[in-house]
Amino acid sequence: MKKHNVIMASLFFGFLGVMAIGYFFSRDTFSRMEKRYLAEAPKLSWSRFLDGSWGKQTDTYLIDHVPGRNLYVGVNAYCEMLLGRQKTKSIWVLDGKLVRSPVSPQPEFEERNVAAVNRFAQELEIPVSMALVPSCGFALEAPEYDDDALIESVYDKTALETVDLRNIYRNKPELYYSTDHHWTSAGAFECYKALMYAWGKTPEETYTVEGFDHFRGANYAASGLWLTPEETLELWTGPATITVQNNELTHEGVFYRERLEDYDPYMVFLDGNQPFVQLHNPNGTGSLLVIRDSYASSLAGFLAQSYENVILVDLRYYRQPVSQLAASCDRVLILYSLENFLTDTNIVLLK
Amino acid sequence: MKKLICVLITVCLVLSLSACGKKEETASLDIDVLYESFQQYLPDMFFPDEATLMNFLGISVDDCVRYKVAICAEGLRADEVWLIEAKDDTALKKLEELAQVRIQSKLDETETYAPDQYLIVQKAEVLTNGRYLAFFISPDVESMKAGFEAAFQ
Repeated sequence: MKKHNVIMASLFFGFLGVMAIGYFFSRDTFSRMEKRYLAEAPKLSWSRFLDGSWGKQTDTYLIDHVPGRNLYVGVNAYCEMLLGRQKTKSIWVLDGKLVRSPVSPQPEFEERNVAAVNRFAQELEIPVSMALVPSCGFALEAPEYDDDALIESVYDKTALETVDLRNIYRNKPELYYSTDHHWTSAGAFECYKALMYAWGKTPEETYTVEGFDHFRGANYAASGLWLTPEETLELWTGPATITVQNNELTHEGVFYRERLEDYDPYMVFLDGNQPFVQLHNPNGTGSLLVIRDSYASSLAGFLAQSYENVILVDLRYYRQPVSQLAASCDRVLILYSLENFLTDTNIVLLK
Repeated sequence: MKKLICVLITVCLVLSLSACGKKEETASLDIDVLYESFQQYLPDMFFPDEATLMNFLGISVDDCVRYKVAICAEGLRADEVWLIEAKDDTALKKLEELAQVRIQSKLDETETYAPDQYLIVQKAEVLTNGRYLAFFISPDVESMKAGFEAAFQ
């Protein structure tokens, strides 16, 4: 009996010792699997100790740096899935795809954002089009995704010319990534064609396609379902020579290939989210201003096949008057995913 | 021994009663001067007008005696500062709630796309002193917090 107790105590303290050593040697500040920074060790002060914030931060630090964290996160995610609790999470598994849970529309956001784009369009003398991209859940025809009615509601309220993309993506989940919330390059190409036809232009249809086979996107990182296989991210190169002005730096071509090795390979398109990007194609015609979210990052390369200048503005980061940019353009496109249009608080800054 | 206990109880009673007295008035704060002192920590900032404050952040200027609200105008940074003297306690509570909503909104915005900024937003501070509210999102949040607290000493 005594021997048994000694063995149990040794195992227990051995486990504690290994964990303590693991914490001591934990040097990671960023989790590539979860695509996020891990909590920093909290600084102790009397005020922080007394108001409880030090305790909370210590909890977070210990959780983030527990040895074998990825294993625990993964086991937990698969257990939740097996217990049928997947739909309480932000990422759902539908037909083998990791998709974001349906958007919870807030009517006041919708009203404010529609009013902002209407107001903006009224003050311009050039055509302003709006295109909302439905979700992957909609493409999978999952009943919880009411994109049909939500897009209809926005389009009914706006005075802008609308380009309806719903029938392009309905029942076409292959136009979305399986591990990311964005559309694939093929999905972006379908949108490009729809826009060109709507505006009476002929789309460029000749491309060479390269594949990057190790893509796992943002939904993978948020899901914890680590056994989900990698997928292919395609780079479609058209015939035009495109120069990108990004953050005051000039770049040849729309693909930032070094980003393929980064934590989020989707940043290969235009170097990720940027406040202001300008694409120039000397053989294109006309200038297009795109007020956009990240979906337009992979669309812009296609648009630049047809336009001489494509200017992209992301209202999450761009605070200057957008109407000044519109003055040099022939057309404005407001392109958002449905989810972002219904939830983004920055659209009201559009001026 | 009994006398000693009586004295101690009396002292405790007097001290606790004194805490029920009128609150000491909070020192007056020059919001503009305080903001000036924070500029060393901030990038180029943009100052929303009244309509934008309402539409973008939900802040009604009717709830404010004085205010300075600044949002990063530069690139992908999440920096933001609110320094507000609220009209009354109800307005202060409302402003505190708006600041929490704003933090959540910034967390949602940065979580997927800007993990470095997400880390900064996670450390955002909402502080109050009297009817003054300070809200900071900044890599230098600790310095700004210390500056706000020092302004009342």
